Amino acid sequence: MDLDIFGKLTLGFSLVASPYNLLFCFIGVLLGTLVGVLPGLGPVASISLLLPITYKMSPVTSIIMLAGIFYGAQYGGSTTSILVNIPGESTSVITCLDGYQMARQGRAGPALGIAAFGSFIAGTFGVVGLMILAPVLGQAALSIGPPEYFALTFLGLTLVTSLSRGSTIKASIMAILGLLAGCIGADVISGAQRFTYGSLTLLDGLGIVPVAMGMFGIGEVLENIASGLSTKDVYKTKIKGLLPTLQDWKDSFWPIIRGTVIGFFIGILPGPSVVISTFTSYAVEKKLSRYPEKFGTGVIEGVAGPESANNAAVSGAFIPLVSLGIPANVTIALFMGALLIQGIQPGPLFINQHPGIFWGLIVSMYIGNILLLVLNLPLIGVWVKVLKVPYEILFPLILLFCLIGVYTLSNNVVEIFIMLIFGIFGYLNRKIAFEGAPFIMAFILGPIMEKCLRYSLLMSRGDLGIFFTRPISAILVSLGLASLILSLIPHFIRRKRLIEEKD
Amino acid sequence: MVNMKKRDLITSIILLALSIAILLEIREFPIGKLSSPQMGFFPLILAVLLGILSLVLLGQAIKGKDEGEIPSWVSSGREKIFILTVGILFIFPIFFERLGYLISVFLLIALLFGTIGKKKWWVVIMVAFFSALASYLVFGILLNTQLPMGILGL
Repeated sequence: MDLDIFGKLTLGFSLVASPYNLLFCFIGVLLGTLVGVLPGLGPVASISLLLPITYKMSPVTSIIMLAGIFYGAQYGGSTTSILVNIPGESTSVITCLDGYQMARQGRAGPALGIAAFGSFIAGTFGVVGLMILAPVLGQAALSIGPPEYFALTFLGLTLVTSLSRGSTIKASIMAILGLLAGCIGADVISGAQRFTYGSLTLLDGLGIVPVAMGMFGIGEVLENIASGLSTKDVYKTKIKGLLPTLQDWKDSFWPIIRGTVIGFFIGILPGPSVVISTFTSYAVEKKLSRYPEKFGTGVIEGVAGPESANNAAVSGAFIPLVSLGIPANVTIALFMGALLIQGIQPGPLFINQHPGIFWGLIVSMYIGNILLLVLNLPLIGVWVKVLKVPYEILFPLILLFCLIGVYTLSNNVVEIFIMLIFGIFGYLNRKIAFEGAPFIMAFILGPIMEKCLRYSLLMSRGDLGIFFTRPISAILVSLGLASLILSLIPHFIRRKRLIEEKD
Repeated sequence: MVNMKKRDLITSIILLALSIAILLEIREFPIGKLSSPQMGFFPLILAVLLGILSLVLLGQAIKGKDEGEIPSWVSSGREKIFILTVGILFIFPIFFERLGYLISVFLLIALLFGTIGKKKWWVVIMVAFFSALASYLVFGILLNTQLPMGILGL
């Protein structure tokens, strides 16, 4: 291990450990958990709602606060899964299976406790992995060119598309629409205007904040209003005994370790890696368990493994962002959006050009993990009270937050209209079974993808073979094509069967 | 009963129309060639792909199996609340800078809370008042954001 790492960590600590930055890390964790706990708002919506708060701060403070929000939102989503059986997002679905059952058996405390401890341990190891691997990958990334970058964005998009719920055709359409939305504004190479229709606001393109807040914040609230979301059966009995017992620890020890390793390495892959890591961890624990038939009835391994995988995957997912400048999933894409607005371009040069921010991020993730554990466990009672607040009181405040939050970006009411339009778009998508993740990933990756495609074609003088003759690019493009084709095959097999039945 | 086939049919037609609209729009853009793609190149590929996928979706909608019942646009009895909420949201930015932060937010919360909450009028007024004040403290003072003062200078 490079001894210089300790020097760099010291740099990170010196930046983060000021009372001012620690305060904002704590506020980030608190706000992230609070918004993550709110029913009807998943981590993606929570993070996009809180993004505007970070814009008025210095880059270092904003990154530190964002890291706190990230962890807090993930943990908040797990809390609603365990106590209310509403998964905040797809990453928390698995926790509902055994977590809610544990709550019903009067074991909500140990479930929440092991989720917090497992997340802390996995998050800590994940940060160590990020600290070691990111600089190494960043160095290697300096030798890759536009064809490899294009191939990486292509793989990321095809994985998100082919692994999304429901129809691959619909997910592909959403990805195309996202790429088109990314074309609005100044052309990435020539700077000429595209699809702006004379609007000064659109000259800079559609911002990630109004789009994300619209689709995931406003869209979800409209969905809840339309369906009449009410305060569900919140676990009613007093929560006691947050500290897991010795037996709980014995049962959870190996699931936490396995979840950490599984989560971290799957998290590095582009696509819905955090979701995949939780499902994989659950499947592994069930396979290795001496009593697999008990999974789903309230076993602690079913919470410990996936919750650890969840947190480790978040750390792993930061690696492609800071070393390559490619967001691995939607939540990391939002983080990237926040960095870009602060004028920071993540990528191979990020660590060298902004060492303070990178090492500050590493340290704030350590501290965020600690704060999450130390502060959130005692505050469980508060979160339960928040969950019981009637939705009719919560939703006007959530909407207000969205409206003002997006206005604060540039004091421009047009941004509010853009957010509302995407709110309607997000709401309609839910009714016609179109998923939002491919759209937002494509929207963020689109400019990078287009720039690299055009530069690659310039380099090769129009020869598309450039993507297949360079080894790394060839592997990545082939994997992307394979994932798309494989996801369509069952569709064709089913169609063939339908035709045969009709005959 | 609503079914996905009908929705997919309408969606695919709209998407097809969108892809044609984009193709018409980018007629003015320089496309370039494969060896030196210009600003219209990428949108052209995307618009063509969108058109193709829309046709595939249209084909699926026409020939595909009926998937059975799916959630309606708005649950029964919630239509009025939903439309009112959307209406209030879109009206808010129109008057936000003219009326100023405090008055706009007060009216927003009062209308939203009154629409769905169905509470007594004095509860609505109080919640709206304190929400406007508290949010001003957060955004205007704590986060030092510039907020519109409006006609009354509030």
